[in-house]
Amino acid sequence: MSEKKELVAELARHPFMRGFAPEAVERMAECVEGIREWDEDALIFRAGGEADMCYLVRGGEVAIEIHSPGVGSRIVQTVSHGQVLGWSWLFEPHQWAFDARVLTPASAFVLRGEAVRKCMDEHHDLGYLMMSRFAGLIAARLQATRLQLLDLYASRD
Amino acid sequence: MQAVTELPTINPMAPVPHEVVGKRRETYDTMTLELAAPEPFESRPGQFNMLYPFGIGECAISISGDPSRTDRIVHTIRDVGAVTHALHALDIGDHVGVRGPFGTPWPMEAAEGKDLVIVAGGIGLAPVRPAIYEALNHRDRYEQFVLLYGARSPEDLVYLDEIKEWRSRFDAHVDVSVDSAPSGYRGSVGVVTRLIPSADFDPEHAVAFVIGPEIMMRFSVTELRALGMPRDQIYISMERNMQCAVGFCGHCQFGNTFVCRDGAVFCYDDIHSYLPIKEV
Ligand SMILES: Cc1cc2nc3c(=O)[nH]c(=O)nc-3n(C[C@H](O)[C@H](O)[C@H](O)COP(=O)(O)OP(=O)(O)OC[C@H]3O[C@@H](n4cnc5c(N)ncnc54)[C@H](O)[C@@H]3O)c2cc1C
Repeated sequence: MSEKKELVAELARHPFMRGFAPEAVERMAECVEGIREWDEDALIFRAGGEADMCYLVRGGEVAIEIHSPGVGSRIVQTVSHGQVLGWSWLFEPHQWAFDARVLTPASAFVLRGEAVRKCMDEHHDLGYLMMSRFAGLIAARLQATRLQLLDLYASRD
Repeated sequence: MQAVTELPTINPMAPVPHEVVGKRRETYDTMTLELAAPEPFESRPGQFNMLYPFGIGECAISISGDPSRTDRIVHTIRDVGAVTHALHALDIGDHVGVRGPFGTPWPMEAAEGKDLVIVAGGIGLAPVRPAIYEALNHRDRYEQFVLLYGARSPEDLVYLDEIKEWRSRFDAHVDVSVDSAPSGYRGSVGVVTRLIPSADFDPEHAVAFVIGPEIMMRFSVTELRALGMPRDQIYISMERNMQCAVGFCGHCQFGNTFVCRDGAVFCYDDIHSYLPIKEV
């Protein structure tokens, strides 16, 4: 199998791609810059940095951290196999809001954000699918954040 | 539906003194007490005792030890007010009044031959620990065994040594998540409900025991239902504040139901109308 075909096949197996038609996976594969691996403690991106890449995590665990002067860094979520790391590359001003730090050696498909956005513009079916996937992710994240704010484990009554 | 538990034949209102023989700090506000049972103490997973630190008051505390050990009664207690504070202050050799056991048990038989999924939040791991012991002591009775445990922060996690032990078993899927953690924490971070969709079980062929603060139980049940788990395969423990423990006083009543007499473990199918699930 050619390298490109192998990449398409591997990308198609990523849980985020479930339900994508084969042509859609091929189009997304065109946007893949490569598969990257990181060691423990590596910083994948930093808050305020340009959000130019989309990461589909293949393995390992990555912490999303926020730093607040006086409070220090806190982990607000961890992302692992099969999940997407960040969506800031999809929306203006394309700037990361959090740090992403590797907890256990991780690897991800790295897609060029600009290329994915262009592909979504040119192929509206794919664009719609991507937008509904990300809307689902963002809604789930919002729900989780509200639960964290409610404090699920607070004393009762 | 759960059968109403028979009341003990001894006077259920009279506390019997028990000696404290072990004490262990779990977290900054939670302690485990071990009491010597004057005679073999039989209980089923999910039942509770009324503990009475003499002269202070009484409160319901679930039994958190291994039900196969009848010489010891184990309770894990979070210090939230006068009575629980007095229980924390007990030393080895002190005595505490005990009435019990009371309450409906976790329906272990309903899970036999099926996947058993336990979702516990915060101190809720204590009341379900006897069910975990029982399931792991008789592992062959169940298909998948899944334990999903969430707490507010790493400092709020109880029974860390045991969790490590359970996680190392090849026949148990154990996942732990905290709401937030300081940088450098190596575990999973996010609300416990998030662990449900990625756990390995067949929702139509599983029984779930859910326990924790009510809000956590509501959202856990929503996730289980979203995966297709029928209402009558979900059991929850309603640990609402109670006083008499024998269905007299009405303190813990909701609708026609008394938590102390008819619970604390309920089939979700029987009480779902009392637990409205609102969108946040
Ligand atoms: C069936 C059952 C099993 C329980 N098992 C355990 C256990 O294993 N370990 C444990 O630490 N606690 C358990 N509890 C809760 C425990 O009974 C209460 O925390 C205790 O009664 C508090 O008494 P207190 O005098 O220390 O505090 P209080 O001064 O009476 O209360 C302190 C605060 O906690 C709130 N509160 C008290 N009890 C409850 C309750 N049941 N639900 C919601 N809020 C409450 C009060 O409103 C108040 O805000 C259980 C409760 C029930 C009903």
